[in-house]
Amino acid sequence: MPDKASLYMVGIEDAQYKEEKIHFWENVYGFDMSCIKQIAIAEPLVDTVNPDQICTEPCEVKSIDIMTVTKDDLAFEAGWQLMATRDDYLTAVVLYFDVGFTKIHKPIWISTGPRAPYTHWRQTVMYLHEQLTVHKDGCIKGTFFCSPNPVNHRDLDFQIAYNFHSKADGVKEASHSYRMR
Amino acid sequence: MLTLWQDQVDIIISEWMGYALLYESMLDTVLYARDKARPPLPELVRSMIGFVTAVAPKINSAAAGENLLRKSVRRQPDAVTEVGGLVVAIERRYDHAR
Repeated sequence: MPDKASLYMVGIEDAQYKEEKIHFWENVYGFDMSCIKQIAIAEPLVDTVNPDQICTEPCEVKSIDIMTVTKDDLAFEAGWQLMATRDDYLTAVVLYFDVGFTKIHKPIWISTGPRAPYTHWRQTVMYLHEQLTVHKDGCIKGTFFCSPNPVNHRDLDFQIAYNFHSKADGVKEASHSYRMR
Repeated sequence: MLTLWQDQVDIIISEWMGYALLYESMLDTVLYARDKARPPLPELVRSMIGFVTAVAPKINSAAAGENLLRKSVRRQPDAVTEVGGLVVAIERRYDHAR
């Protein structure tokens, strides 16, 4: 069993998939089903992310030491900052984790990130409601809230808030809620 | 919350990571078991290393348990260790099952 774990966030461009999964509901064979869109976007998507879609540096949002962590520590709020690695459109943020076996003779870390070999955990994608035009070396700052759902504690609630200034978009601020169920 | 039929724990075997690490809150139960672990705690962690691929009872002797264990695993483990009344096979590498 690993004794250390880190949760990371990274930004991706994923317009095509968002179109298929989210905007799809705006016109379903001629019917406007956009009421479903709100439900679809609030549900994080567990899927493999192509590393070519990554357009920011990753940011660690939580570090867990299993020797000392408490149950209360697992509901948390953290600040994050994603620095763009190229000019792109950021459509979604992705969560993934690494775990470490650090107490052994030769410590081992395994990653479930988009650049690591496939695992059944894949990655967790959360679409922003609007895409952000990012410029290389530009920063998006925000907060990330994560907590077991109060009604069903096996579900996980997320909240992502961000504050973004760019030449192309001006000032953009938003806060989105998600629930993994 | 669950109650254990014993006050203390010798070994914890868990694959507690969920989607996005924390989905399904499986770590909670590991932490509960951790707090029941027989001291000292570093011993617990040393016993938690690697991927436990098989567990066998010690039967009459540890050697007999190990013999049984080695017969039951598909490939030879990197290490075999005794924890409490059990013999445990450990692999350092985990081939991700697709």
